[in-house]
Amino acid sequence: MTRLALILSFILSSSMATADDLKRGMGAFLGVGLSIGADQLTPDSSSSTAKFKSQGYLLEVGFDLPFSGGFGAFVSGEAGQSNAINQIQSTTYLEIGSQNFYMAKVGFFLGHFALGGGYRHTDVKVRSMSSPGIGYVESNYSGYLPAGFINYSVDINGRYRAQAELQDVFGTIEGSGSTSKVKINEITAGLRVFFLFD
Amino acid sequence: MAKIFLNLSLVLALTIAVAIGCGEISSAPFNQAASMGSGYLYVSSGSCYGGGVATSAGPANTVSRYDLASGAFVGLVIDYNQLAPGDSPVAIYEYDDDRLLVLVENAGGRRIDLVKKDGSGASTYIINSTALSAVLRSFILLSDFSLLVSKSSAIEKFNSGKARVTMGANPYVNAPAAPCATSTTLISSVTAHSSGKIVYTHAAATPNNRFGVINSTGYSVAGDCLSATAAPTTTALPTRALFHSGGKLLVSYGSTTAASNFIYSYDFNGGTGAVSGATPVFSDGGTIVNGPSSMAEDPATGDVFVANVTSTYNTIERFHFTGNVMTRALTQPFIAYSAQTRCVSDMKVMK
Repeated sequence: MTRLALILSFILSSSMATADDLKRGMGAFLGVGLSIGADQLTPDSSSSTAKFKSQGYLLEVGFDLPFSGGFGAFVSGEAGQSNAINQIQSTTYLEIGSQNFYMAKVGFFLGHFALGGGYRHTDVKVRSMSSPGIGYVESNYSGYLPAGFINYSVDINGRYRAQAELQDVFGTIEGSGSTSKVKINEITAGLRVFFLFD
Repeated sequence: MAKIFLNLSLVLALTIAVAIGCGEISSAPFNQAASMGSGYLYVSSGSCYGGGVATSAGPANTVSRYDLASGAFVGLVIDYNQLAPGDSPVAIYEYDDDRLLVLVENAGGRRIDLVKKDGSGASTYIINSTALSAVLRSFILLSDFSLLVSKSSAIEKFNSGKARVTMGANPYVNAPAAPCATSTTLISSVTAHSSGKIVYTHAAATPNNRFGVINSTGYSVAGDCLSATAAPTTTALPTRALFHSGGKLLVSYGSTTAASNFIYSYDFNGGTGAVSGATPVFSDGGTIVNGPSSMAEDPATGDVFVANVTSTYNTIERFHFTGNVMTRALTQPFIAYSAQTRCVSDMKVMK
């Protein structure tokens, strides 16, 4: 909590100090990003939590709407995919996961700093393999999850933008073709690069 | 500009450290059923008995395993059609993490095999034509690695050294007197309480459709029959007894009379062997449970699997068992009819 508070105060002070350095113009942006994440999945049939580490890529397109004094709003949509592996310590058991998602986002920016939320559709697939055994067991889930994010952006010559974003996705989705559910909490940190269009 | 890039780098690094790098690494399996902790539902298809119901001809004579969560077929463990002609697996029991015991009925060579769970091989564990001299039906591996084996008319015992243990010249449990009499026709299953007391089910026409409790030291005198409990109805034949982890003794009953297919629970006194509190925990007139040949518990959840061997069923159902009531877990069979569920002789949840 202390570290998180330090990060937030650092971000805010940087934003306030450099609000004049970054005035976003009205216009669209299109970019790609890479991310790494930590996922916690808890199926409703178990009280235990499976912890995955993930990495993924995404595509994002959006539109900035500045108000005044470096403050404004934006909307965007992103879609992507990530792959994950369970961090369970075992020499005989392996779980890999994959996720496809698309998401609508809306947020507010002040200088370099932006904060917002979104609604994401995600398809999760987990494959479980254990030894001695043959084949694997596959679990599929799909549903909508709310999300929150915070990011820090740097515009370069008004044509490009580099952005670091921290995103938290959380909620419960249902199994495909069954009544099982899984509670998800995913935190990702990513780096994105955008083209800016005035 | 340099300051801005430095800020961006620091923010990203700190964000990653907080979000991703913190916290312990320890994790649980997502799919408990596929992990080594919960295991699979192992199913043997062989000569089966469901309370006198008409069963499908030609059991698969295989041992296979299924995913514990979804009921998906995972693979064959052993196919006895590839071994000696006439081999039929009638019961299975976990031996260790890698192997299981299989009770093989074959008039020309009754035996107990030790089979690798990954299907990589099998070896003979016990051959004893003197002891295994009648139709084999059920067995249990006790905590001291001794075995109790039902051969329909009696119960044999082998010690951990695989030597036969007799009561004089007789099997370990042979023709017990009243109230256990008469129990020499079809001992459909044998199990044991944690106290060591032996519980068997006997499926014969009324008034001999009952289950009995024998002293842990076997049967040598009348007093070794501790109790006997008649089936709830004259047409119900007990097919399987199972001590549930919740403390109840579950007994399945099959019958050609649809209304006499049900599962009862009982309170069992481990000290005296007395049985009381007979309660019908599942009874639907033979619609879902019909010709139950075997029951198995998933120790992780307490759920109970029931195999139906009536020829028009050949299904495996899953039930939740809480508050002394069994409720069907799904709206359809947990495992639908397939070649490997034709005439299920036994089931166990194992790693």
